[in-house]
Amino acid sequence: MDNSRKRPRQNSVIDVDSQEVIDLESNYYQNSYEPNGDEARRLKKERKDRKKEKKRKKKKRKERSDSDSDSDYDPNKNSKQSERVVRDESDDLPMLPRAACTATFNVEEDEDDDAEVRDYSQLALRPDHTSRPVYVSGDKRIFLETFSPIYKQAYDFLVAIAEPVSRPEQLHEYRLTEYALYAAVSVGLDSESIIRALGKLCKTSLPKEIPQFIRDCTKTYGKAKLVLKKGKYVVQTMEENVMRVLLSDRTISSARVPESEIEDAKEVETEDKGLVIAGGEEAVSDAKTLQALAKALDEEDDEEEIAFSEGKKKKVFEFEVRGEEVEHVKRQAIALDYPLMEEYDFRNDTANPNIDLDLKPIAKIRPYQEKSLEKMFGNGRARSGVIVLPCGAGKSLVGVTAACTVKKPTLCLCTSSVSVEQWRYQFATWSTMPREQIGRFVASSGGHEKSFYGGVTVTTYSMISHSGRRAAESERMLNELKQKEWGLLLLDEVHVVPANVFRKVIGVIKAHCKLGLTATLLREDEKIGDINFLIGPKLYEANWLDLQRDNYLATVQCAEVWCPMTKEFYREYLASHPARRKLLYAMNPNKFRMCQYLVNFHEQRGDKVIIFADNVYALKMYANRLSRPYIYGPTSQTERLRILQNFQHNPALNTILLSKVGDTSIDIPEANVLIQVSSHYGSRRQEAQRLGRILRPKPRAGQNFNAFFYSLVSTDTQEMFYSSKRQQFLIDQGYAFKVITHLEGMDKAKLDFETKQEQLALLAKVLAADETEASEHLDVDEEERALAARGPDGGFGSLMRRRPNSIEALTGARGVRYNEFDRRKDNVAPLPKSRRVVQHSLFRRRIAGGFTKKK
Amino acid sequence: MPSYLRSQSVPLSATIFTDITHWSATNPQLLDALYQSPYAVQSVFRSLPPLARLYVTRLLYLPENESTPTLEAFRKSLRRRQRALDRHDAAIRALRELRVFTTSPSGLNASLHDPSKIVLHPTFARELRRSVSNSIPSVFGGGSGSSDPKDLDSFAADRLESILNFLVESTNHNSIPSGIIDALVHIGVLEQRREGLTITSAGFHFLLKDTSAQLWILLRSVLSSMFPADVEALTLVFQLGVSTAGRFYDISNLSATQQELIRELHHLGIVILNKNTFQVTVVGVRLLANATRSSAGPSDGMTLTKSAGEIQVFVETNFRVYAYTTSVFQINLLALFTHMRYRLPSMVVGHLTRDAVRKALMNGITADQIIGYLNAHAHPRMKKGTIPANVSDEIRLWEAEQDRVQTKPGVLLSDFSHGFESVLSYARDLNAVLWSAPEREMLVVSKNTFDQVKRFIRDSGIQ
Repeated sequence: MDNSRKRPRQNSVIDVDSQEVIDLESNYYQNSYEPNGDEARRLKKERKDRKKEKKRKKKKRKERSDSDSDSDYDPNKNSKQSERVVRDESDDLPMLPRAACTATFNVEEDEDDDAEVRDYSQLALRPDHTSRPVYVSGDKRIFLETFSPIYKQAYDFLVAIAEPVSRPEQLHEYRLTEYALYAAVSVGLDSESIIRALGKLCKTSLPKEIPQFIRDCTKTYGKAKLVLKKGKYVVQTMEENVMRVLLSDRTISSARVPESEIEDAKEVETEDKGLVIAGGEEAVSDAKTLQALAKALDEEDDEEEIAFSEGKKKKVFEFEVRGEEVEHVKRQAIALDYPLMEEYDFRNDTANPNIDLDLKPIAKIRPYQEKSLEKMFGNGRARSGVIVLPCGAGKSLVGVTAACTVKKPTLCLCTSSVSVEQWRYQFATWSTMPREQIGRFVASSGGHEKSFYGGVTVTTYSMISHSGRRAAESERMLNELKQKEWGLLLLDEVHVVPANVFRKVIGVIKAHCKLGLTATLLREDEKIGDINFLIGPKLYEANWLDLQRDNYLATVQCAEVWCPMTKEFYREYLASHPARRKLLYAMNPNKFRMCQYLVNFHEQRGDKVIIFADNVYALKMYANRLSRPYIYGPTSQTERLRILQNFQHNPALNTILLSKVGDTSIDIPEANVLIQVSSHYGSRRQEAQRLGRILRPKPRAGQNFNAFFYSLVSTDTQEMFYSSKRQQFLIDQGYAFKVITHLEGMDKAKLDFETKQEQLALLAKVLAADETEASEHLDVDEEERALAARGPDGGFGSLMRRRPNSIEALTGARGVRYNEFDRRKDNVAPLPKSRRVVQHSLFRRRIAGGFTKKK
Repeated sequence: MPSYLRSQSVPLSATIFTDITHWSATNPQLLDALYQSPYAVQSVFRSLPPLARLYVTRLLYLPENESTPTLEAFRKSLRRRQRALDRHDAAIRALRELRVFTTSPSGLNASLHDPSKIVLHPTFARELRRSVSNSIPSVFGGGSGSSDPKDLDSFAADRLESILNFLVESTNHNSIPSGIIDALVHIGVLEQRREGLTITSAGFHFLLKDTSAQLWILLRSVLSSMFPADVEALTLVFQLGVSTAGRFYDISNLSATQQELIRELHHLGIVILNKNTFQVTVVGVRLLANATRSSAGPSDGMTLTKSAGEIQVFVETNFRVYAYTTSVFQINLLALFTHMRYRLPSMVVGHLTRDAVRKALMNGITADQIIGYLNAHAHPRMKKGTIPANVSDEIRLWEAEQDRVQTKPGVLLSDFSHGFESVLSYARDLNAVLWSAPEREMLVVSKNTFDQVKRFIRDSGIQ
């Protein structure tokens, strides 16, 4: 009686929930731009709930499939699943599989969650535990001893199956995540060999949750592939039941050609051996990683042979689908939770002609670069994915080598027009393609920079994703790019580009293989999961310290320099509102003095110094006081190049100042000292990017440290809080920030702002500064808001946008002229929700420009 | 309570002989009584510096009333080097402090530079001669039987670890007897505060010592809190030092005080108290036999050190702490200043957070002690065998953060009608000015100099 009453209610609950899931998904893009802390927290919670809900569903599904074990496939299951799939308004945007929603990268550790000790001391320790390098805890955390003799093999394995949390000198921490396991599966590892290898490495017997978790995560992933073979799209799978699941779907089966051929299980050679990466000597294969690991382990015990298959003939089920239906098939497969892994069999692609591209003999790829490419070309085909290498470790060479291996038309996307030229230069340097043949597609502003198409074409993200009007020539060029079928799509600095730009680019450009390159796979606004899923899983991530130890990176001394606020500044600071506070702590006279002292000191040593100041007002003031050139947003292209060239070649110019624009992609190989005056809230990514500016190894030998990174912080201000946040990523990579409270010889040095009068004059100037001048760049992107929302006291971000202003400023009495913008134009056609924000932020920028520049 | 026991480093580094010297200063008969026991004499003799022992043996068999040498003669026999002379002075000081040397039989006018003849303490000399001639009875009447030394070791280790654990946990009050707690409070390892018993800075220092030093401190705290200047108790301690480990001794031969002491020693793991008999543990014998080495140098009680917990710590530049240990005590000790995250079969994972370290600092543990502990137990693979510089710097900064505001008592002087400058300059000369604002004619002087300044103001007729 009781049961019968309960049951229907339960069902109804589930129905409501599943609807909610859809709602939440679509809300997600809309809401996450709210900088408000509460909102962010609510969202987080919702996502968590959603995750829980999914788990519950999964469990339910499992139960059901267990109950009727005769047929693994249940027609209800299908319809049920498609219900909860994310539907986007726009059709050309790709969908996301489940793991993408749960993907988190380098997410900050919530220390509050860690309040209790997790006790796993009951795990049985193996008698020979000292020779094994790994602990695995029941909550999916992995600890690796780097001093183990088999560290290198274990590292390669762990970085493939888990997310690195922290990688300092002696003990690494990793976390097993659903997403990382998905990535592992897609680079050719299967569940059982992961479990076996992990069990071998572990000092204890594996906690029982772990094998279960691994199996759960890898159950449906990596089972089916979409291969482009001789111009035909073929869906391949090793397992019959997967094939059955796929074929019983109406959309997929209707796309199949020819209709008759169904049950053919063919013997196909799955693992093509012997692909040689351009510039490499040996052929690469996935099985190598596991074999190396097995070998290393077997040296210690021979109890069990691990047999890893390589180049074996296996039974493979496959069917061909019609080219025009491919998109629908992919979408439907994701809906079925069997996402198709895309592989590009470029050697058998006859539809697209090869281009004449090879590495020059002088190009020598380093071991870690080779390793990352191994992951990409591991099975003789090209996989899509992301390669994570520190700045200065030669990401461009990896990109060029990948292009030279594929030898098909390549489109390279980067963030700015400066880096377009740098990429073209890289291609010309390392590959046999002459520079004139490397195409470019940039905004046609000047006369001499013409866009043209080449076998390798370099362009920027915004050129592709820009949705407004553009010149007729550009329009033509864009259409050409859109129509072409690209062999390889190289995506530089994937983490900086907002997700929706990405979705758009990937929707528009047809490419067989996508390779993302980045140094820091982290964003503060938790959008990283989507981005990576759009490209593919993370293929490889290098360890910063290992590279530093092998001298591929400069050895950097990082220091946080504490600059006490002067009394007067601090009094004002306490009384000010947040926007003004930022300016006050950036303009702290003690900070300037410290900066000046460091500049003098390092210039005397013959170092090349870069000073970073996000705050434009501070940037200008510092530059004027120090009489050194500066580059910021409005600086013209020619002037930028002139300053950079002088900095490189002119011995009289040893210091330049950069604003945010210098964070990425501006290549300044000479610099070896970096002073950070003001920065962007708690952005860990920015800190890492900036450090990257000086990571290129310097020839200066015989010293412990050959590069210096100073972060100047005003004590007792919010900057301290942000500073510790910012450093977190680098600290987790094993960098140590030394705190400097006092510099030897500062008292004797002759510096500005010695007297109280000078300091007070500066204070007066700062207080008189116009509000718009005082704040940073106004192109506040979503990430910035997410950051602001995480201020030391919670909802600091919402305050930031409300700028109290004086009546003179508002009435124009200060000489600010108003420009009128036709707001209605933006409202004519309501845009899809997912795109609205791009418009919004552009729109904001234009207004901001109107305020500041027309003065 | 002897005041020196309260001060930070003295009680933990001194030896039992320091205590005896201290007691005998107020109670001269103590040593006379103590030297009745040949075992005490032997122990005292062994504890003397080598040169002092040489002097004693030179004098020991000299016939009485013969030409006993003077101190000056001893001194002259040495090589004329400062180090040798220093050693001589130290030896003589030790001999006098324990009253082994008495300059004249009456013991009056004893002074270091007295050129008069020196004489050995008569009882001391007699008992020492007896010991040398091997004519002393075996201790406690010989005893009978014996038991497995392993059991004794594990008993001793358990006892010590339970005391140490009690110190780091301070939660389960029942686990150790109140007598020991009183002794710990007495010696300043624990402190009674509003929230209960808390470990002090000295207590943390205590935890970082090696086990034999810890036992000595415990033993001395028991002696000084419950049996101060008690000859019977001291005699028993020295008797135990020459007993045989594991042998069953009859308890009924002991005095009431001694039986009481045996009970306390049972709690420390030095002896095992049975119904009518007691056994001395291996640890106990070693400890008491090596009385001289109570605090200096590592103990040779290897078994004990081992069971009280080995720990090897990695501290990373990201403030993570990875400690290889299985000892509950060491884990608890580490948890005093680390935020614990994981406990794995042979390792614990912690994080040196600001909060955790601050909590420790507020309990009186110093940054140097934390750093010292981590360095002392650093894993051999750590660079330079120390924790990363940025971590130790940060811990020191956290400590410095605690006293950014300093308070000094002062007196504000204001509303001068005239003569502000002269008062200011007078106070400056006194180094008494804490703060001054000449433009507003205001001045703060430190409180202890206020009277002087007041006098000056009165004397010079300034209002």
